Amino acid sequence: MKLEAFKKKVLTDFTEPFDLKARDFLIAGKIPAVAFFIDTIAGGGRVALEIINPLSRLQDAKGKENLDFITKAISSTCFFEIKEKYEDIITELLNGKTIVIVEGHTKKYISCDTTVMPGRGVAEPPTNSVVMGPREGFTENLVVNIGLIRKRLKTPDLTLVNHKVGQYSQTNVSIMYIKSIADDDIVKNVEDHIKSINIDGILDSFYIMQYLQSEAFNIFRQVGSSEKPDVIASKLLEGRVIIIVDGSPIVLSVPYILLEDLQAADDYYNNNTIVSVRRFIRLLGAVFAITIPGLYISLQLYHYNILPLNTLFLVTNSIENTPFSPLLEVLIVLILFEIMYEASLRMPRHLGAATSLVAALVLGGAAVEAGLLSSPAVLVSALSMIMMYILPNLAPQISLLRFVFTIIAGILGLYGLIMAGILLVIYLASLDNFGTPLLAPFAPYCPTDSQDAIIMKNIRDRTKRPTSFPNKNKTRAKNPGGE
Amino acid sequence: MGLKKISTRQLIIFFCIYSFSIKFLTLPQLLSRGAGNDAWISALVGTIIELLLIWLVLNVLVKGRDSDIYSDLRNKLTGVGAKSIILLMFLLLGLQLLILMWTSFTLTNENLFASINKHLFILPLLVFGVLFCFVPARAIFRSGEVFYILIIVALALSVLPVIPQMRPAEVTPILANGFGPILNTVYRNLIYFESVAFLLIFSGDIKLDKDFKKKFMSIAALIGIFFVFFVFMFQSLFGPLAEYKSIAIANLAIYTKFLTQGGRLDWVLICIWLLLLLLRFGVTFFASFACIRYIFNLKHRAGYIGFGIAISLYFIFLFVLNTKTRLDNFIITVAPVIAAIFILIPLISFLCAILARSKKKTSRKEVENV
Repeated sequence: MKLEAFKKKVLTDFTEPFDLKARDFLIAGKIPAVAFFIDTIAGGGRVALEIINPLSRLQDAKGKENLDFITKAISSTCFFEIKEKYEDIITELLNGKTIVIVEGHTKKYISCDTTVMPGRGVAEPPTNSVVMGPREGFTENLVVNIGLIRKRLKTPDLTLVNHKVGQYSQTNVSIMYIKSIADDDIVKNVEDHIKSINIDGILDSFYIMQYLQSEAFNIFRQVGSSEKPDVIASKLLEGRVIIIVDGSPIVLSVPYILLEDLQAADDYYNNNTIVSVRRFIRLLGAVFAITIPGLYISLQLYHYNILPLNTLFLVTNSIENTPFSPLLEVLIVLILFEIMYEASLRMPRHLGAATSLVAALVLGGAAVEAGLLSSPAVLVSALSMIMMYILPNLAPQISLLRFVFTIIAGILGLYGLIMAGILLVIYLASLDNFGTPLLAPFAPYCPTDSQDAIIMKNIRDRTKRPTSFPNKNKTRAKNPGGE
Repeated sequence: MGLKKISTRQLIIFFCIYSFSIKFLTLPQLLSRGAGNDAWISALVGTIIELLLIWLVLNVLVKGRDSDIYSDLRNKLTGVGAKSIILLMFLLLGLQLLILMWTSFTLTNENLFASINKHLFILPLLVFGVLFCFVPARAIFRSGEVFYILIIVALALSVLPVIPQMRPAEVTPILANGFGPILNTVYRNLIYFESVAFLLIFSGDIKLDKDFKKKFMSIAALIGIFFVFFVFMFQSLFGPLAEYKSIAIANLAIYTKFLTQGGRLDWVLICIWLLLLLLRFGVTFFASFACIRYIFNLKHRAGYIGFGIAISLYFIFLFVLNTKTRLDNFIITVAPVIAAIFILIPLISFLCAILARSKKKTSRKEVENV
């Protein structure tokens, strides 16, 4: 096929080639060639500097028509590959590469890496901010994300397998693991899951997350996630498999256990005794966030006989003239809080903070003063709302459960709360994913993993890798006690 | 990690939950009513019998570790025989469910609510039980590992502060009326000592440790000794009034001043005990559901069976055994039947397991010879 005909074919294969550029030039001033690239994701400047310029300036020498001779000229300025399938041209172009076609070689294409994907730089992730420890966060760029991990794990055992997922998006999905630690079955299982995805497009890692979960209908997630490279590196060291999706700053990890959400990123950069206390407080906070509104309602409605007398008087005085029943009152406050939360999330940042303050202080106070709501109801709901965010990754689940527990407590009191608590634990205990129970290391109990559960042992004593999920190498450190 | 199977640890924890949940609430009063001062000796006799039966059941579990109880029984007793044994087990579990319902109701009504409507109490409880039929057994047993710490807290808070206030003189004279009332009391209350038949249902689903029997028996013996001590303590604290204290553990709370002086914090203990009762109710419901599945040879989950059991219990609770006294009288009336079932089930299962084991050994030898 002639070069001109080939050029036309490529241009017509794109429905609307608004950003597809075809730059004609002469190699060594004699051989016609064309460079295709997509202007919006490949750097035009890079194309000129790294490809066209060296090829145009090539000396007229014997063998200049030879493709090897041509590629040698650009080997010092850019990374390239020789492709032979026409379909590859489209894929490469869509990935920001530049395709060079040389007259007389229209069956072989030089694919040069000139990717300049638009995106933000490495910054502190908004969802995982820490007081102590590294502040780098993942970005939307797959290569940058891989680099951030690679920077922390300098081992040839770090393995990366790439997949393209999504019929139209052709998103790069990378599976990463440490070959000598990660369990082969888990790796294979993850690969099978990803290969089986048949969807038009993958726009974020959350799409993949849903395919990796064992239960389609499930309020608790069964896949871990983080925006911090240090957290992901530590998961790799534990033998987990991670999934990086191009275009998403959230990196997924499997197997996942619920305990991971109790562990904060900076736990590992603090004194372990302090961390153990903090973890216990987090757990307590999460339990209270779910149960406190229900507990308040049941004590007020059904079990007032077990309240201390002074407290009883205090509560009775506060609720004396309120028009709503305790259950309705607490539900109204909880729903109002949720609305305020949603509004403050979606407002411009500077407005959001002011609005939530006004809503919380002024509206709450005014409602109590007007006698529409009682102050204990507002207090209890506010407390529960604050405690909910002690585990930010679980906040949506806690919020939903809080409503369920509140309604049950409003109907059945403590009796209902206890039943709901048992059912919740049994539900959580029934969830397994990638051979790992969600409630491990508590149920089933894994003594080795308890060294980093509620009570966190000193790093010198954490010599074993988790046993709650399979991995090849159980030993983490060979110097128990740091000796 | 064996995800599909129940671990030895989970089994032992659930056995503890099973034992503590009802024995420590209702039985001290019943023993005291029958044997007076010698209630603790009744507890001792009952515990010894219970330990013997536990030993039998553990042997069944060890010998039939690869197959379920129904298959073992069917191999030796034919389908009808196996189904009859499972039916007896279902009846025993059904009666236990009724006892649990009444105990939970009494505990809740006397200690948590000023008064609670029977329907409002029983309907959610039955729905709760039915929900257990839709979850895998391993999830139920795993939950025990989350809650077991509560047993330790509740026991420590209930018992330790009371020990210094014991008056052992209240328990004397010992054996004033001889052994007759003691044995009669044990015989009438045998159902309360039954805490292992449910384990047979899970035979084949348990991942047994090497020293499973030793561990289990040690824990069972410890619980037994503790129970005897508990009854002794209960009797020595309340003396002749013990037979009127229907929920032993709740009544002990009046002696734990640090819990009651700043308001009634004893409700925390009541809640923990209610939780244990509900857990036992759930697992007993699951076991009775499994019995019906065996009887009708159902391979699928068949959640409707759970509803059937729930409706039956609802009518019995409201219209047949509709007071605690009626239930107690019924248990006394059918005491011989209960005693027979109580002993027969573990014994027959044990014999079948032994026979099945010896047959397996013989056929293995034959294969080796060939």
